[in-house]
Amino acid sequence: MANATRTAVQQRGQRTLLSTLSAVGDARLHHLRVASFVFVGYYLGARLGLALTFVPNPVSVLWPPNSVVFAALLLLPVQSWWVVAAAALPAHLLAEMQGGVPIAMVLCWFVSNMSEALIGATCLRLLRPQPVTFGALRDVSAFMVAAFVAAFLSSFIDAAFVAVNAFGDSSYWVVWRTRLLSNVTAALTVVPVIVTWHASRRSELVNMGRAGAFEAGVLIAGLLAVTLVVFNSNLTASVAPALIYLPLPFLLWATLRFGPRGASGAFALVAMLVIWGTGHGLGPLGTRLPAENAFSVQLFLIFVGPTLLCLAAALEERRRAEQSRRASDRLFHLLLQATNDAVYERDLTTDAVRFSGHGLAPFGYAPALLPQTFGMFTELIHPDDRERVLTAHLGAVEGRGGHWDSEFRLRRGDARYTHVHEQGLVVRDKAGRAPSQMIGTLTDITERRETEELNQRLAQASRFAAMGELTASIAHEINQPMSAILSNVDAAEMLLDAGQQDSAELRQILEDIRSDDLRASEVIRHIRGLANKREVAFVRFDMNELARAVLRLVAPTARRRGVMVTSRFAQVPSVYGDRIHVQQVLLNLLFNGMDAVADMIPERRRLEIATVQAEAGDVEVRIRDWGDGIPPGQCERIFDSFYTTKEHGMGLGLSITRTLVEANGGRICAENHPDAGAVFRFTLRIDGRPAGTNARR
Amino acid sequence: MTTTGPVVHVVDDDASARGALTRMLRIAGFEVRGYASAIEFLDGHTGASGCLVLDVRLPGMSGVELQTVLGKGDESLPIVFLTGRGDIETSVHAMKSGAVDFLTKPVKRDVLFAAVRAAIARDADARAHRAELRSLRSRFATLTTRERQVFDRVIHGKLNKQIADELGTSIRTVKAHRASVMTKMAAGSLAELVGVGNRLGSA
Repeated sequence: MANATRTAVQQRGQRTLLSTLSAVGDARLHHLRVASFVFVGYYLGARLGLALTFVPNPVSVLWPPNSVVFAALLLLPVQSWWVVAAAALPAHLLAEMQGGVPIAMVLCWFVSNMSEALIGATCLRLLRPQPVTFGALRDVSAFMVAAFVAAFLSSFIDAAFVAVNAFGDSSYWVVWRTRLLSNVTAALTVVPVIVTWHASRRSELVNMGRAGAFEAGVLIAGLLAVTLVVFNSNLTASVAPALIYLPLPFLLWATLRFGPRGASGAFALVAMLVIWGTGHGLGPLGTRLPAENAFSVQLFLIFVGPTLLCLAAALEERRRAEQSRRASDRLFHLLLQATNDAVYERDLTTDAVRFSGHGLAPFGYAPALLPQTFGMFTELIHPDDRERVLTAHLGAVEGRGGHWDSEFRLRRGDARYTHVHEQGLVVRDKAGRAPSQMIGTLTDITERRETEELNQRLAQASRFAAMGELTASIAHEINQPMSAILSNVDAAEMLLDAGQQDSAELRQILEDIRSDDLRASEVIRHIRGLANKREVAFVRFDMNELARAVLRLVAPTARRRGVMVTSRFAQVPSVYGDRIHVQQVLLNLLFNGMDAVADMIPERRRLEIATVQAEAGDVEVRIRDWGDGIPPGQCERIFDSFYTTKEHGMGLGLSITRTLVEANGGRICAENHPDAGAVFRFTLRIDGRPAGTNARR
Repeated sequence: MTTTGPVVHVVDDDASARGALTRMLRIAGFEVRGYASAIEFLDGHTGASGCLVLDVRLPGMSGVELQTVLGKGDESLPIVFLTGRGDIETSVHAMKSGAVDFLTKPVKRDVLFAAVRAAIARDADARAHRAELRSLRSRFATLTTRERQVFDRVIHGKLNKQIADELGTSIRTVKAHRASVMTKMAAGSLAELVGVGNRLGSA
């Protein structure tokens, strides 16, 4: 056992060490992965941004590198942000140096690009401390605020750098405005795609199933076809500007069916195609000057993107709520099935009653027979119980607590009555505290009731049996002298009838009659003595001395039965009581103890008797055994007449013991010892109070 | 112990009840003996005629157990049971085992006397029956082997000729044996002889 535990601990220790090592390794690997992602993403983003520039207009319509960094910062803890910056710099240099831009300008742009991502990520972290998934409306709105603030602020820096480096010939505000729109468009398009798709697992894509994959394929194909036709061809350029809405059904399809991931993915795809097409003077947005075209594309994307994201988030929220409602519904139904209880709701305005789950099936009612109104339900309550139940309901509605709890008889589907326990709660509306609904549960307690009744009957029967036993024994005791008297009277009468004047015989007969009569009245006197317990001879005596005498009496039996009896006597004052009674009590308890340890191993075949000064000034005698103890919950019952756990016991010993102790003004109780066995404790008075004053239980 | 008349044996552990009962029966003219227990009765009684007045509840061997013990012997005495508390089970058992009556204490004088008289009468009948049987047996013991063979066939209704054939002897010899059997068994007629045979056979 100990070895096994140690091994387990060692294994656990090794595992912890291993996992720590692998975590370190994981962290390095992770950083490397992040760095390469950022590098590739940033570089490709920059190339894409340059590709999407509307020649001869020098400014890109959509500048993705900043958004790639923005997304990476969102997905990483703050302490790993340096990795992103470190990976982005070479990518930035690599991409920008190809265009023959002065190195100072290139570095300035790096700073302004980073500043946008940093402002955006920090702002979003402050607005939404928990990870952003685009699965909630709050995520989307916080992201929109952060993206706008970041682009807004960083564009000042960007425009300032351009002015300082005297790069290009656009004015400060033109640069600022172009950068703002370009960066906002990029953030709204790129960040959600990266964040939502980052969270996806291979298993989710596999679990999508064949139908899901097919649907996604059709969707992508349709989206591509429509977008290409509308925005990347000459066919539609002059036909109708309204055609720009043609991809919308596909975008909505993606949103409805594939959530935030579908919405962001589809939107990014459309955005790229629209920008590319328009940049080439194609489609309905490519009909004007490049700068104007860029502006309208950006506005188009800025309005469509967030709308889709909001819609996806709202749907996602609803789906989750539905899922959790369904889970709790399912739990509720399982619970109902498990308990076999019936649950109903009563609408207090219409008085309609609606049963949940299996309805009243546990009580034998088919769904079609369920009561529809509370009035119909009360018809099922036993007429004798109805008023009581309704009073309980009314009390709950009018009272403060709003709970009720009652037991009544309910008519089952087969017209039999069954005992039910009803517990309920009054539901109040939020505003007026007015009760609107009552919810009750019905539990079938017939079985429990029957068990209780059976127990009661058994207890009564055993009391009757005890009385019968006693009566029979009294009857016998009295019957004997009575029948002797009758025979003697008959004999005397016969003597007289025969005319014999044998006075000696007659005298003897009379003598016998007298003694039988006295005997009968002695029996009666004894019974009366038993009944009112006034026949005890109270004396003052030394409890320890009496206990020693009893131990001497018991010693031979204890030896024969292999029971060791030890004693612990304290200095106690002399007590007041009937010596014979107390002796009987000690004998009963010692024999009881010997029976209790009879089947134990030799070490536990042991009794201990002790005397102590009790707190009330009385003397307490304790008799402890090392047996199996008293069955749980039976400590009080063991003193009842005819209660026994012994095969051949009558169940009277402890009952008599208690009667005797109480007749001497004491109390007796029994409890299990925390270590083993049972302890019987009884008290004796040290004052001379009459015993009759003790309260009988 | 030389009394020849019927004796009423009263077995009751309660001294005063026993004393009163014996006294009453004695005054009524019965010969009475009292015993405090079943064992005391078994040790003390002489086999004289009479009956037993027996308390059901006795220390040691109970009244019903004593009845069982007595029932196994030849010379059983008829029993009148007395009990303080009559329970149906015991009374049915006692009556089935041949008790004359089962009376509840305190018992009415006339009821007790009637039961005791009936018991004594039953004992007298039984004794007469037993005495007759004894005399028949002793007569039967005087028959020769051949006479017993003839006797057995006669009471089973065989004719002299059949008997002669079976025993391989003459009809005349059979007739002689038959006459001898009639004389020895003190039977006046064939019918009487058959009756004797039945009594012997059932005993």
